[in-house]
Amino acid sequence: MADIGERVAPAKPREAIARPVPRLSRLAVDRALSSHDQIAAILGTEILRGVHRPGDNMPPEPDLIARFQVSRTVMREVMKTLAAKGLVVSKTRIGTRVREPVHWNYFDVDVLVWRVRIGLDDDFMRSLTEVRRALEPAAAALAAQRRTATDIVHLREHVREMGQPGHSRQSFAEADLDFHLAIAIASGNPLLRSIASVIEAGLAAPFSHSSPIDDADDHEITVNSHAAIVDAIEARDEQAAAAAMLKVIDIGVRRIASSRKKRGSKR
Amino acid sequence: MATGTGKRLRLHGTIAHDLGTLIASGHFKPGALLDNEVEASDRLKVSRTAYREAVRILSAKGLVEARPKVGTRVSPVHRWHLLDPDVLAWIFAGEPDVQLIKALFELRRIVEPPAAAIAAVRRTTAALKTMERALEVMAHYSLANEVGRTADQEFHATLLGSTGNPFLQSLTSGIAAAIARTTIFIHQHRPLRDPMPEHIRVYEAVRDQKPQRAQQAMARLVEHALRDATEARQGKRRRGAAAQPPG
Repeated sequence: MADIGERVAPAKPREAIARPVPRLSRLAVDRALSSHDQIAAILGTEILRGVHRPGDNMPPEPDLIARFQVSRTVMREVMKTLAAKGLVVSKTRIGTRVREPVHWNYFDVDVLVWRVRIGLDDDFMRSLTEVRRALEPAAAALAAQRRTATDIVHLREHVREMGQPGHSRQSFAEADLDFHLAIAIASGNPLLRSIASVIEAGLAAPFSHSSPIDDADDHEITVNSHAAIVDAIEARDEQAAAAAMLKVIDIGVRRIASSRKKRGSKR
Repeated sequence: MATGTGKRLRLHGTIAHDLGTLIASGHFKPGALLDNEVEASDRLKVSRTAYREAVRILSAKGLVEARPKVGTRVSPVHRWHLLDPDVLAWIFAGEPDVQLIKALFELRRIVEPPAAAIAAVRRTTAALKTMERALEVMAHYSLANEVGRTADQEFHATLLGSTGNPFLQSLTSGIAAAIARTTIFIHQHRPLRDPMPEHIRVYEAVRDQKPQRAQQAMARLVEHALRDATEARQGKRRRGAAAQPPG
């Protein structure tokens, strides 16, 4: 998904590719993007941006076929994909209509990545923080209840990885998110794991904008606060694990907020 | 589209449903290769286009992954979009796994109380009206009736929707679908407790803009529902007692 802009059919809006998401190149490294995936990304992003508004019909199929220069078959598969993500709904004789935002599936990696590419405004960050504050301390508490010895080994490895010198912003963000995914796995709840893996895949890029590795003290504080979560989980102390996780989230939120202020809080 | 006389083509939605159910029930195991397009469309008596569209739906929901030259493989369970209403429906089409029911309620217990607290701060008058109406319908029809269950779903969906948080809203549809499924399941196996008092307490706290009270009331509501669901599992074998729903 990283290089979506490169080989797409003509006459598509360039702004659909705001910034690269290197994280996903790791996931999709061995496949070139099909025209299906590229068109789904472009139209999906346009819907999220409000180019096609909720309640309105998508442009007629012949127009889209002309615009992207693909077969009707490919165009229909694209619409099936967008429908499966909750963005559109097809009705016989009415056409394909954009659904209301409540139906958009934000826990779909593609949807989240498209949304993140549009930009991280205050509303988005607030929503993300709310849901993380609800889910992640609870996941840490469950991990404290259910963790196996192997979970602890993995969590310690992730903390050590985070503490390594010489990280790039991106590699630190990945190590950080891998840690949070490992907590979700240790929670033993497949739904929490499913949610965490989406958040992990979608958010590495934006998270790397406010990296603690720019400052040695900040780096150390961040690593230690993560180690404190593992300590509590190892001790099977649910309350301490939840509290330590909440602290980690809030430290991150403060850092993102101050770095956004410095960069002039652009949309 | 290929059409043969007397050979009715099925809609892609049905094919996706059938394949999705086969995968969710473990008939096709993770890692298994699906038949190639030509064989599969012949066997299912559908056009290749319809089959391909169905696979697109499954792929968008994380159940399968298509790779050029390899074919379409069933993905490991942790890649499935477990909160997608369709995926849940396919899973619950068979005997629902008790671990998954527990995981769903665990998620509700985590998400819905803080969401209720946020909703208590941000709820609109319009949302309150919708919730109030939903409760009236629920009280009238009870959860034994499809109309009552739909109203229950609408109550919870409106509540999560009032948070104004797209992440919490996305959890709405998945959780709502799960509520409907587990309620049907519970009802098959035991009489339902009257769910109205705890719903009304949540509603009143949200109406009065009391976040803490809303959070506690919602926690209690989910707790009760979980107890019902687990007891339904345990009581399943000694079923037969008249399942008279509460008025």
